[in-house]
Amino acid sequence: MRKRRLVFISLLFVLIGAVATAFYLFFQPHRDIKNAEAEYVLSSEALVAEYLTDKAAADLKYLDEKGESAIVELTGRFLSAHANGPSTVIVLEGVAGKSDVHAHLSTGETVDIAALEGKQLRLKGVLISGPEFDADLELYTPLILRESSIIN
Amino acid sequence: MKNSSLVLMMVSIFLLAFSSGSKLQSVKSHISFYSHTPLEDIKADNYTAISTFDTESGAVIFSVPMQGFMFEKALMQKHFNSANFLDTKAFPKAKFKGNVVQIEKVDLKKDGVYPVTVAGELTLKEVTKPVTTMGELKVKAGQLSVSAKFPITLADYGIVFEKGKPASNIAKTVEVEVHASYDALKD
Repeated sequence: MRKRRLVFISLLFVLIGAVATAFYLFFQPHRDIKNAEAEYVLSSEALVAEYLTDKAAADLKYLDEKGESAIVELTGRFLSAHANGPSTVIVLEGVAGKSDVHAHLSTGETVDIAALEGKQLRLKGVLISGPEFDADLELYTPLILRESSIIN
Repeated sequence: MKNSSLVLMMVSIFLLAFSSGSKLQSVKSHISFYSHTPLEDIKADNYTAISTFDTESGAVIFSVPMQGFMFEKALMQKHFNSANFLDTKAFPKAKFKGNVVQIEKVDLKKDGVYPVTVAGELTLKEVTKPVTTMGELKVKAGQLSVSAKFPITLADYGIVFEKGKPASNIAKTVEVEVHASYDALKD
């Protein structure tokens, strides 16, 4: 009788553990990019130049196969900003005449654009797309960050 | 030798001016997809696509960073990007290349909403398939925007789930909605 109870309790624990794990996996939160530490810290110009030199190698280095790609912290000259969908996009200078950095700020992240004019900015975000010359578009595409936030 | 270089340079400048004169660019876009099954509805949004629109030829091109799709659930986002689904590390961008059929019948100098047919090719994971859909061109105060909606059958692009949660929770055909606003129209 005691042995059966022990088996029953053990099975119950296993079941609770399995349900809790499945529940966690299904409802696991997104990464907290704003509070996470950047994996790479460099200038926006250096990162764009790295991509334009060898895109395949850079994709291998920065992109993740489950979409949890590298969090990068970039410093560069503020060029412009525009609204897009639910957020603001900050454009930092990359390689002049070719590609710049388009950092899509996280939804709800507010910024005083007038105060950014002509400044060197430091921001952080997830690298999702590297720059390259696109022969169909006939232009250099930008380096794109999402879930970005301005550090200073 | 000097003369031939000069001629080549002039031809290049002419071609560049001719080819880019009517081309508008968009960095303000929204692409979403919606999947419905009895078990779950899944929606993802992407605001990172780059597009060009040639107002003379009607050529419209979208380059879509696949890791720009954001999902409500982190697990869905991981599935979407994984090697079994879109494999976004190996294939970071999708592309649509198409044309607005009979663009010459649309007066882009006049404000209005114009129903159009868009025909082209969509490339996902290096698989290219034809896409034809109804869309809309909207001109307002010199600003052009395009919208379209079309279904994608995932198996056409080699995306097939045999078993597991994705097989039951992701529809075989998903609805894609596209919207882009372009820089100002030239007079």
